[in-house]
Amino acid sequence: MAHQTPGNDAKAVKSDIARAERLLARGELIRAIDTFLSALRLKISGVIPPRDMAVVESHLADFCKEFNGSLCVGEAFAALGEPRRPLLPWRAGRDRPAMNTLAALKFRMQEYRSAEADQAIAQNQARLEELIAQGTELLRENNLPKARVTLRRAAEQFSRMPGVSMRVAVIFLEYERWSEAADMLRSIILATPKDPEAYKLLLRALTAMGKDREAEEVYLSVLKRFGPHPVTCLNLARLYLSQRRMDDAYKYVRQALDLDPTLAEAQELLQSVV
Amino acid sequence: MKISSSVSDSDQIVSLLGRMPLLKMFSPEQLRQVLKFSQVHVYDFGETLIEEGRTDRALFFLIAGSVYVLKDANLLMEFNRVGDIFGEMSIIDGSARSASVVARERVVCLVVDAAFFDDGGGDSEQAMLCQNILFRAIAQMLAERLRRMNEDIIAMRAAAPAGSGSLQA
Repeated sequence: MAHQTPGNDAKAVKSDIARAERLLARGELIRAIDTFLSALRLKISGVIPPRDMAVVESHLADFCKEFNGSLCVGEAFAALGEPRRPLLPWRAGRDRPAMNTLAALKFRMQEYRSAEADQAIAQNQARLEELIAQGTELLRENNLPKARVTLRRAAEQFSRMPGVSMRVAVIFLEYERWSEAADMLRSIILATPKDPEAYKLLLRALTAMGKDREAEEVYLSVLKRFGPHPVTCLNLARLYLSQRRMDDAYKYVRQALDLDPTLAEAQELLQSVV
Repeated sequence: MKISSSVSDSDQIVSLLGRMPLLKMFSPEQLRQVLKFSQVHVYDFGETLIEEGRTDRALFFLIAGSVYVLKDANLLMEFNRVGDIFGEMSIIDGSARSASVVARERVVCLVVDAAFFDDGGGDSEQAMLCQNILFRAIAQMLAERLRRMNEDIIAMRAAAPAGSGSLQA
């Protein structure tokens, strides 16, 4: 146990109260309440000699006075729609009602903040959908500069929401805006290098743009990161074949067949290579 | 906390109580019998209705608002439905309050004094019948809570990884 001797308990209670006062002064209301509650719990369960108790009680009374006059407490009451009144009329030796009141305030504030956060999420979601719809409409109208700005803004502004960048990248791909899609997918890979879908889509964009050199690098990095896969090997072999790099094409089509001997496309490609 | 005067003649309260699920089995006359031992209490946000560790004996029916049930300032549960009952344990075994109940907002409660359960307003058949019905209502509510707790325990056991700790029977 941390506080075994009576002197230690009194000291710990006073230290918690002092910390709660500092937190309150900084406007960190929930942390201040938590710290003050731990002081009250310790006062109830600990052993405090009578000579220290009067000092502890006076510290508690001081905190309650500060609490009742605090600006952030007033703001919390206003936000909760509760009429402000002296919240913690301190009575020496009557700790539980004060604990209960503080705990109730803490839980109500947590509910309020959670509801506020839910509302903010809903608003963000609505704004994101609006930007995506606008961007998609601009792409449909072939207004690429404005579409690019709008969709990139959606991805940047809501980057903390999961999947937004990928969603924007897919929209660019659907409208065959390969370069914009590739930019988006490169940044996704940079941020989350373990996402195989991003590599797959980037390769689709690079292939469409004829960026064979970068495509080759991406295929090789995929094989290195995720291990050999017959379809990846087959696609890399196809890329090499299109560049007339027959030895490399043979190496990878052979590897594809080693991994999956039933892969019919690899068997066909092997005929072209040998 | 504000306390109303006697509520025994209040038709409005009788009508409201009559709609509470656990009190539906009472006739209006029987409800008036209960109300003879009752008061309406109004609490502001943050006020303590029941204080952990105290030995007061009263049964609470929630009429409006919502309350937190706290143990050592930790949240155990919330009551927020009209007709929710709390404070029944001390009526049954006379023990000290095992948890605190605090107003989550402005709360109105019907508070039935323990004297009703000890005496019931005399030995009349009507009074005895009222006691029986109220005890049956409490038993129903406790059975419902026990059922929910059992479901929670089963769910916790199912969620706990095999061989992990005390939930394994």
